[in-house]
Amino acid sequence: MQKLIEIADYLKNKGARFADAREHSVKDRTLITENMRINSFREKEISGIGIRVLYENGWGYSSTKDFSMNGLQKAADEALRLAKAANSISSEKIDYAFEPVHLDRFATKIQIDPFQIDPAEQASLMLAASRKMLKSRDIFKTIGYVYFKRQERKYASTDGSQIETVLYSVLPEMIAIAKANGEVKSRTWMPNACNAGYEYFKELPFMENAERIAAQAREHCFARQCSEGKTNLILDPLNLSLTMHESVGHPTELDRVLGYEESCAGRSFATLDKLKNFRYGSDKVTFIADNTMEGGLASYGYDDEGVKCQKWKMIDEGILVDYSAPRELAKKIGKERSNGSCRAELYNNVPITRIPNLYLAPGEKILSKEEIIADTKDGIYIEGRGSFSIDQMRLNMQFGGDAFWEVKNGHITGMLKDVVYNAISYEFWRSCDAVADSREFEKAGFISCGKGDPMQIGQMTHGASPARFRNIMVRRGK
Amino acid sequence: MKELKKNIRGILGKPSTDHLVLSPVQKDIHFIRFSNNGVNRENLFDRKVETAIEAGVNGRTALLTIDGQESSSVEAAAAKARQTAELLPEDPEYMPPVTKEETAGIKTVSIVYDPIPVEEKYTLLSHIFAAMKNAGLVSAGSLASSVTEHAVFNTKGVNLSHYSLDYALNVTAMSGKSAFKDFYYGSDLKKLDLENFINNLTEKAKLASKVKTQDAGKYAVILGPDATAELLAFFYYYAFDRKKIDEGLSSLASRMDKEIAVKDFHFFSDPYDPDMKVNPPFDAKTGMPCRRVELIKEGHFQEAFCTRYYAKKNGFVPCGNGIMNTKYNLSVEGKNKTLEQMAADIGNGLFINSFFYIRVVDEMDSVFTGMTRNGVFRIKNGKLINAVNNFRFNQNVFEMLANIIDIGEARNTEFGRFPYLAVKDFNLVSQTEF
Repeated sequence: MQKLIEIADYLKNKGARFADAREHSVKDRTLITENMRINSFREKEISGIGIRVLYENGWGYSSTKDFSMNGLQKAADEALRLAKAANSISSEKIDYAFEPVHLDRFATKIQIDPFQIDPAEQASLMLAASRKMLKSRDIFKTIGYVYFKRQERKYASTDGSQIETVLYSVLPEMIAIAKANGEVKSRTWMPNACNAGYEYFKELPFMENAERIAAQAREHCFARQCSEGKTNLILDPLNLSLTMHESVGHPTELDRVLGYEESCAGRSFATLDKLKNFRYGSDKVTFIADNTMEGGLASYGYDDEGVKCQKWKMIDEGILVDYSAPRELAKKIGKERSNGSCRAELYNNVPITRIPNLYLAPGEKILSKEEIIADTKDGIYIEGRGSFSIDQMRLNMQFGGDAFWEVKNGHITGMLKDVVYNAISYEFWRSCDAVADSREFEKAGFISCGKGDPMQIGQMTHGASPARFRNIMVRRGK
Repeated sequence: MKELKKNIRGILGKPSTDHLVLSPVQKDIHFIRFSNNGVNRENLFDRKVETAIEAGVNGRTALLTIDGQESSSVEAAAAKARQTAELLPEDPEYMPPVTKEETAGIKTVSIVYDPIPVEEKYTLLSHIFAAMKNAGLVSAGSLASSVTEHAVFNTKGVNLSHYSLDYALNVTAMSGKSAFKDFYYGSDLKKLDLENFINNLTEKAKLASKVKTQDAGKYAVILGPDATAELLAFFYYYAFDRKKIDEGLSSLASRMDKEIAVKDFHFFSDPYDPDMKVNPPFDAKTGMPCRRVELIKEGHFQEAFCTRYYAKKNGFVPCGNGIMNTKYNLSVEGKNKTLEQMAADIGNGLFINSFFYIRVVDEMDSVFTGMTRNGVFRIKNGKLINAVNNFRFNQNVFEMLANIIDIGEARNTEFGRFPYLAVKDFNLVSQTEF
């Protein structure tokens, strides 16, 4: 930590308006099984120090693996050189929001470090589930996937903050693929990816879900083709997690709103003129951002600008009320403080605006998924994640799913296939007329959100209770 | 990398494993990102220094990657990889390392590069910003330059190195919600005709700003090289895996003997293409040589990619080690015809400059969805007359390949070299609001 403090001071003495240094170590383990074989076992360890500097109105960033003072000063000089070059052709005034000084440590609460466990033991859980799936009728292929990650950060800035964090993340997944009736169809079990230790992975119900997804993969091969046209959709939390990620999480990132992402990830329709007056969804729709959520993948304690993680409303009873904002852009729109959503994947990545843990608040009225289905005359119930695509303003969106069931006169009548739904994002959320209560609330983590240029991978948790959407265009994904 | 090369014999000479493969990579990147006619925060230097270490013991393998190349770190990681491999069950698909004889035909490149000085790059960008401001446009994009060395060493005597220098300039010029994008990919930025680049960008971005509403439907379209590249790269990734084809998991499984494209559509992968030196002509993890592979020729599927194990098991001539190591050496053969000449021939239709957010919808039929982006123009009486709103497409690629009516000149793109492609009945299913 001392060297990080010294390098921030070094840059301040060279004329920097602001500087921070982040020592960031990441270790991950990926284990993939295919049928009864370990298809791949990989471990990766990356560590180094990233140095960010603001000189007048230009930002510069450089990183190094050389932890000596000499190495750090060289990287700092490079960052300063780039900041000066950027400043020489800069076109706008740069400022950044105030953040109190923090001297703190934060760590994910875990019992067992996954990196202390033999990979063979980890694989055995997935191989046992594979064995069970392969015994099921018409299942000819299974895939198991688990990813463990540990991140350690030390952060110091010219503000005076000194922060240390240690995070552990787990992502499990299991797929059954069936071949029958001239079709090849799959079914995926995707338990919540979260910040947790090995104990979470070990206690997952692999065997009962292996049986379920194997049977449903086969059933999917005999499913009926869906009809095209407008219908009612009942979406499970996992399906909704992807829809809210793309159509609420990304459009409310302030860097997109202000045009900084135009060349890559795109912009947003949720522009500043719409703040606090735009009807983004029906009055059933409230979105909460919460980077303090226990086990949330974006629950970092502090973000990579030294801002303490927070909880805030993004959409309140359908009205757009806030954004995810880094310090520079928060200041630009007159906010007193950033809400702590600026994160970097690795030490050599510049921290960028990131979607927080974001969830659709459960309905206040006592209501179950079964009651929503019972109240639906015609519709489709969708589980899981499938195909997904949205335009760069986050308006025209199209999503699939992992499994689909027809709903007729309040009952599920059979499985469907090849369903995709297509809508304008705010019209979709405005059509929401029922959200189940908190008993059915489920979290769903993302660990591979691509953004930035150069591309970085980010992680965050979403959540929802099952919800219904009226008159949504459904097409055949054929 | 130098220190590792010097000590490589000593590291590989320790008989602690059945095999050891070291694949270091060093990449120096200078990346300048810009938006709103100014450089923004992703303005950085980065030196990526990694070594992947594969250890094999008694028919088991483990792969560890560390972010360093010091001999002591690599030796420690090799010992850990060996210990980890011993913990795993025996792999029925175990493959010993590539031999020196197998790599004998590889032609690596050791270029003496001439990178452009740092400050000159900012000067180049300042010209673009000034031109955009003068035209009332806002620019966003990036200028990336990278010098990369890939190497592979193993206990069977393989010793390979490959250097590359590449530049990528992407500029989107905006007016309100409308935009047009142009780009340069190559190893010599000095070859870029900046004045011509800026003129084309300005002219098309101004045209893009006059947007008229156009209904969704099936249209004759000309796809720009960027649009062609992205859609066909997705198609390649999902369809051209030999194992998936044989298992019935690829759309090509049911189309092996059928005509799948017009006769003059030629899709291939060539690691020795002189204009695309970015990737090494060998698999960067194993050292297995890549070779030219004809994917589609004279309307028919020719060949697909597979791992070393799968090639050996099935008697295929090996081509690298799987589908991913060739993705940037893809090409579709172009013809000597400009966009303007193609528009004159097509008469009426749309020109689509780029796509965005392409995803597979039905893998077994290669149906993809995505959005148009950065310029959609109406072609009327053989000329680009105005911009229209953006669309979502849901398109079966086999239908698209059968509906090709013209092929134009090819350009280097992010995914390889791809041409303008004129296609009838392209399926635009819905509009968006801009």
